[in-house]
Amino acid sequence: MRILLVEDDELLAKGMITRLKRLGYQPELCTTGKQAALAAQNSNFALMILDLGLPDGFALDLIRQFRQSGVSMPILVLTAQDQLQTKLIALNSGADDYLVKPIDVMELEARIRVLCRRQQQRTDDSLQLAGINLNLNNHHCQFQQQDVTLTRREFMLLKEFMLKPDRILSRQQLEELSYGWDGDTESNAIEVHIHNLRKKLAPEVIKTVRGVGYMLVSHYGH
Amino acid sequence: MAINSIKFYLLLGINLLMLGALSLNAYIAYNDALHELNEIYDAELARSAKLISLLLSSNPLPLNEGQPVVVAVPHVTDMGETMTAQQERLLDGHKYEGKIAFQAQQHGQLIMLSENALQFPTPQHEAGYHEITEHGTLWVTFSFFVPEQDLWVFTAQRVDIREEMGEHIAQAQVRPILFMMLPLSLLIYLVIKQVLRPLNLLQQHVADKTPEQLHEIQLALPAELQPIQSAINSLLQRIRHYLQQEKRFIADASHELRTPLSILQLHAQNLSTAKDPNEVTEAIFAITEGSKRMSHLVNQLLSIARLDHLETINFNPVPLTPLLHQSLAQLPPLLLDKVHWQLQLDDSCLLHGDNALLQSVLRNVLDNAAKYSPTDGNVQVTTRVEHNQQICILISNNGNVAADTSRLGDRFYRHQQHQQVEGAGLGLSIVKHIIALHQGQLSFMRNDRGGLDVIMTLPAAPRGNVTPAIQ
Repeated sequence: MRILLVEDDELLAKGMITRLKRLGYQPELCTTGKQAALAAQNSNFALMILDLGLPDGFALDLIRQFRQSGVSMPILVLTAQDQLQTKLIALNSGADDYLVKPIDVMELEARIRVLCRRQQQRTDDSLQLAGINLNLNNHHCQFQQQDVTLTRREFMLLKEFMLKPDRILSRQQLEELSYGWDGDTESNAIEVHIHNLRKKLAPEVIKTVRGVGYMLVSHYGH
Repeated sequence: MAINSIKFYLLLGINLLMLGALSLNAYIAYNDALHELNEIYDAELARSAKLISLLLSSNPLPLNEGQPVVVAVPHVTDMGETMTAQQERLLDGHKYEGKIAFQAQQHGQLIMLSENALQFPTPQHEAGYHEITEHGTLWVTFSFFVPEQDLWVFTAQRVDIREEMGEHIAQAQVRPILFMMLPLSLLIYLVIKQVLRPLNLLQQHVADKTPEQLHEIQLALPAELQPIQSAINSLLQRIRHYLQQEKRFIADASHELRTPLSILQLHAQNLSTAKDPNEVTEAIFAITEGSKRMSHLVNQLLSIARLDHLETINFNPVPLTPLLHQSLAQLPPLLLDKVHWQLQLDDSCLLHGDNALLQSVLRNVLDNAAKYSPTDGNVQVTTRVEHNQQICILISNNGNVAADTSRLGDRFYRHQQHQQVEGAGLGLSIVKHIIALHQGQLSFMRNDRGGLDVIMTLPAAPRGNVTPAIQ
């Protein structure tokens, strides 16, 4: 799950990236509003974390611009400004949540999950498909009532497949999802992870669509 | 009613004035009446004397063996005012007759006298008015001489009767006003109370003010109170402004503290679960940097708080050149090596001010100059003595400095382009404050090298004072 992180403080951004990666997200960092607008235009993100005090002062306009152009990605504002006035402006402009620094990472992660859940019209963090039971909160995975241990990347990939069942995900998409823009992906890295997933689950669960990508078969086992 | 109050003083003053006016009035009335009475009675004495002399010369008295004729007078010697005018009009005359006496002498012999003139000494044989004392009572006499008959007529009247009547007339004028004084005082008191009501109203409104509610007072007040109202309103406005400033300062300060705090918290949490040595290194570096940033910010905030409560500073002569060298030496080595320093110093510059505060000024400005310069940039420091007992310090850098010169020195102001540069935007506000405390001037100007000129003008130490504060 890719997250667009817009934060101009280098140290803070570094810490958040480390933590978000560890929690199974793929954050991409932008330090200005203009960069963020460009990034959102060119790639898909599940969510945006936005600092209001950006160097180009573009944050609130960015929210409005996104909403006007029909970008429905949840926007979580994370800022040091705690005045009610700013909160109201941000939420009324189209932000989905507002958190004031300093924040506890666990709370931030929980709120990210809540926003994604709402976006994907789910009521809980448990995805059930094709005999797989994946808990997005504690990363617990079961296949046909048997516990399965997943690596971080495997979890990230499986989560994407389960969020978009029966849809073909291209290799490039999957690479971006699990490695980000500047990830040092080897040519067959994705294949290796898919292979491992198939080994842990069942080979037929993830179908290869030749020349296009991969797809999760939701009716597996039926 | 308090003694030290406008009401009390007004009431006291008006009553005293009234009493004074009454006394003056009574005194003048008494004197006037006495004067008029004297004229009337003197005329009466003369007329009586002439009447008696006329009667006596036309009808000579049959002398009764040399005994004079005695005319009786009513025996009322009481001088009081206990009887009514009707009662005083007795059958045999008027009690005041006792106060008028006469004697008539012919050929040196007493031929007729009133009863109350029996004890009189023989009057002077000299025509005109005289004053004599008989039994401790002062009388005014009039002597009249008819040469054809060799007849002397003396008429006399007690003086106290005149004084008594003068007093009566004066009292008659003063009494009604005297009786009116108490109700009048009460009325005046009520009027004063009414007049002072707007003042009470204003006082209540001012007393009702709380820091949360400092709105202007808009009362329909008399012209005298309007300046007070507007003075209070302008004070309220200043307090409001000050509170707003404080609020903004606290908001800004907490905002500035939140980011380093987030860094500490986030990286500390990361550290507790880190497995990779790289992650540990990263977290430790971030925590160290974050705490540095925070302690810098806290130090700046503390110096602002200290400056805010500083009312006076110790003025000492401070040689500028050593101070500049010290301030440069205190810069972080990385910053000191980042740019080329070009110093043009006038060693005779002797500032008049507080050594430590001035050093903080120089350190902050030099720090900024280097921080906002490109690597290997140029920072020029020029000092010179101005002719008007002022010392000018010019610190100028080059590069690509973006700044709104009108907002430089505002607390927490940082140009958006420089948000990445370390700092909270407090340094120049401290500089501004200290220079203001020294009655100096601070101005900023963009220069043609793309940098900023910071011009500080500070007072020079008075001449003849040669004891330097630092060696």
